[in-house]
Amino acid sequence: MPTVSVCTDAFRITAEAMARTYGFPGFQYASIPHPVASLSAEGIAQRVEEMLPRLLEILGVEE
Amino acid sequence: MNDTQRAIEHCFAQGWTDGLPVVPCDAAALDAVLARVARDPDEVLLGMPQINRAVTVRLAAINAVMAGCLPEYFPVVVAAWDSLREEGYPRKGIWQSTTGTASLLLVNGPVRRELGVNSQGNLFGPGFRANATIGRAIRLAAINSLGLRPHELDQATQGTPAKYTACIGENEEESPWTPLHVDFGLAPDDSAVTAMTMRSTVHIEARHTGVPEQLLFDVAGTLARTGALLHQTVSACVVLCPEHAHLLADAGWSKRDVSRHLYEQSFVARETLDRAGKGAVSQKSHWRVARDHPDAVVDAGADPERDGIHTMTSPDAVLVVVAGASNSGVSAVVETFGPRGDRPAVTPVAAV
Repeated sequence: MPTVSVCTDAFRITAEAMARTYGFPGFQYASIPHPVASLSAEGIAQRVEEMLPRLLEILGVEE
Repeated sequence: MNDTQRAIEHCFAQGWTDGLPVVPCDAAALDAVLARVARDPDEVLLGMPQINRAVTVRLAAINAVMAGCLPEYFPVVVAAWDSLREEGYPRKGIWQSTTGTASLLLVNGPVRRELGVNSQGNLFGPGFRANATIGRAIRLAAINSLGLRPHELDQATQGTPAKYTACIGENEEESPWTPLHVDFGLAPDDSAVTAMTMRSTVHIEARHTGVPEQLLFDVAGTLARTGALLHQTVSACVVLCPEHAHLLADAGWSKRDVSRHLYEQSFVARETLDRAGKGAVSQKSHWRVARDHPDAVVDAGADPERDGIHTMTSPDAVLVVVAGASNSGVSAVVETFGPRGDRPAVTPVAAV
């Protein structure tokens, strides 16, 4: 199943280290502004809307 | 620069360090350490499939040398890895977590005397080679063999000084009670290591009282603090100084009595949880959230008469050990991640 990893920008270095560990340097994933845990439902919805184009781009969806 | 300094600087340049100088390890030093255990050097002591890495007996030995361990310490280091594997949290990735935990190693039995593991004054502080280097051997392997370097795969937001080393002996000689390893089925002449995933060590200053209930109320204030509540409940290893332990034992209290009383005193009213925005629990993550969180469920407490929770799931979530000097009323609460009522990972040390 096609998937996209999503993490906040605070975890970019870790995400890249994990990708190298698995032998996929340069692995494509979506990065969104930190933090998420303390956001309201509206804030979460806004983050999702903002990241959607990037998710579709990584999945190779052409509009 | 001499050859020794060059070797140490080479290790720094390679990133093989916790920030302090390490002891360079050669084949002869490695062999001397491996000779102390009857274990296959290729045996995996702790695997982390999520990062494709593992600590083998050989890697644990190299890092023990680098940490400054004497060869005779190695059976304790191996028992520590066996205990960490059984305890379970490191394997599940807690060493990568933002919480920034360390591993507390509690050493019991004759091996403490044989190796000079400190169980008395300055218990959590510096000055004792066995305590300093056995704990450090675990952290160096986490960094060097598992690749858990800070700012990379170790994502600790702040961490804890205990990540350098956290290895203590139980002061069995000055305890009024049976030691921890005997409580969990080993003989007094056995030696054991019990690993616990820990966050903070909090001082309990109580030189003022001879009343057991007052002393334990003072301890329970730390067990019931909302700041420790990430998950629904917490757990703790209460390290009583000999003076506090004798105060309790002389009044007829067993360790079990102490755990039960501390559990009962760990009640937090819902109003207090609400003030911290932790009055409910997320259905999905089981983390504490505010009541108005879309995923919130208000968790019923154990006592239907009172609206609130005990921060512990049961008296078993409070381990009581005795350590430190017999010179004052200063104890410690070590805030642990589990066991929340599970059996602690008491692991025998093979003969040294």
